[in-house]
Amino acid sequence: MKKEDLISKWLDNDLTHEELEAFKKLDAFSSYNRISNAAKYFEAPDFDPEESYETLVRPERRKKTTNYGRYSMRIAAVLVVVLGTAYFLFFQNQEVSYYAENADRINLSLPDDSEVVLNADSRLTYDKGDWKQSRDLSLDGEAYFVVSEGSKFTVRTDQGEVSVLGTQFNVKARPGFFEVICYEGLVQVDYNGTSVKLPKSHVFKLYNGTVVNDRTDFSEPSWISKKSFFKSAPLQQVLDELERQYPISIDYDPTNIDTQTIYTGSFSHENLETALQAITIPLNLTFQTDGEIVTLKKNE
Amino acid sequence: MSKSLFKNVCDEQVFSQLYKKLSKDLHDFIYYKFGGHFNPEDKVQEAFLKLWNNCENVTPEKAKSYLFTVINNISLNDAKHKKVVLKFREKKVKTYTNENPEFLVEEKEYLKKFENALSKLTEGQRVAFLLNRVEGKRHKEIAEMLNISRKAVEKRIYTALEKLRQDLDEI
Repeated sequence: MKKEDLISKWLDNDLTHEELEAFKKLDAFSSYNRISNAAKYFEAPDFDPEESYETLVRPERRKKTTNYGRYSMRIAAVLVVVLGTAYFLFFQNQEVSYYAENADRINLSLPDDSEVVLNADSRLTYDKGDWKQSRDLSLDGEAYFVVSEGSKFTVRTDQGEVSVLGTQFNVKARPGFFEVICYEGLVQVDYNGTSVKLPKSHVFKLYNGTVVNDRTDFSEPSWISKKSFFKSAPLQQVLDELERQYPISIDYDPTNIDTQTIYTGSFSHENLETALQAITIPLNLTFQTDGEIVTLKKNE
Repeated sequence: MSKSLFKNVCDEQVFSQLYKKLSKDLHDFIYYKFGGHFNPEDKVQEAFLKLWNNCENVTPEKAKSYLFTVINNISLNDAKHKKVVLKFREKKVKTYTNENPEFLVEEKEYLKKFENALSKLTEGQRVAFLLNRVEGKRHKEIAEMLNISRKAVEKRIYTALEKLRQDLDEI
């Protein structure tokens, strides 16, 4: 059978079993199939013949007219007052705030369809009413942003400001530690009166006043896939993060354990036991869990 | 309605039957031909009003082709120079269960290109193709709707498919 006939028969749902097998062997089969599936996205909107008929034969049901003329001015005046007040109350200052608790995270969609994932123990605040004029948010903690294209998008933190036009980046603003990683596009970081442009795969770190520039090979933050990844980070930071990801508190003798020890590695957010092992074994420590208290000790 | 007891469509029963039977096809036909900004439902009602006003001269068997001709003419008068705007439908067609972001982005781009390619088809090709692929109509049914031969429908749909493939497989 000719190729053209085969395709036409397929289009008319008229293929025999053997013909269908032959059709599937055509080079362009997957293209045809994809086109056929994609076409379904363009389906005409729902149409209800019954309802449409009713509005045709009995249009008066739809259009009820009453004489409001006498009252219209009064109604308008009242509406102006009520809506005006409502506007000032609700729209002028529509501050929204989200807080992800310890061992939790929140996925957010902003009014412009930008997306944010808020890591544990982090707070994000923005003004909903003002969003159209300025895409401006403040962050305390860590979040991953996938920004839709549009006007300038700014994330304010205590340590610095990050602004972009449309891109993907992670901001971590923890006490004494500020980190921005750009995964896509270009990000501008402003801190202490200095401004830095951060291209794709670049990392900016501000730790106790020192700036470190680094690169990343990842395409999204490790915590998105429920892991925390550290590269040459002081143990203190790792333990802080562990306390955010699990409902635990960590106890140790500071004279015995140096929390400035440098650690490189990652821990999972899904199993406390393996997470603790991932941290303690490389650093030659042991741990003991007692309910929500985890005690760390140096290996004798 | 191959044979009818009624001489014409002036009976309200006959008329409402026709409406319920044909209005969706008419609606879809106009939507696929001219796009969504066109208010297909208004055109459907207009066409039926014309039928009602002219009911004495139309037998029930002729009503279908009468309606398709009328709605086409009404819309053509309106459509001069307007470009087709088919909108993505809101509801998602679920074809895959696990969608990763790359897949979604790629799919979105594909649909953009698809929309573009659709608007480059001739009206006849687009209508026949979408009625067939989206509404699942057989070639014979489409031929009756459009009042053309089955062979012509087959040709239109096949050409539409090949054109789309050429447009979409590029790059």
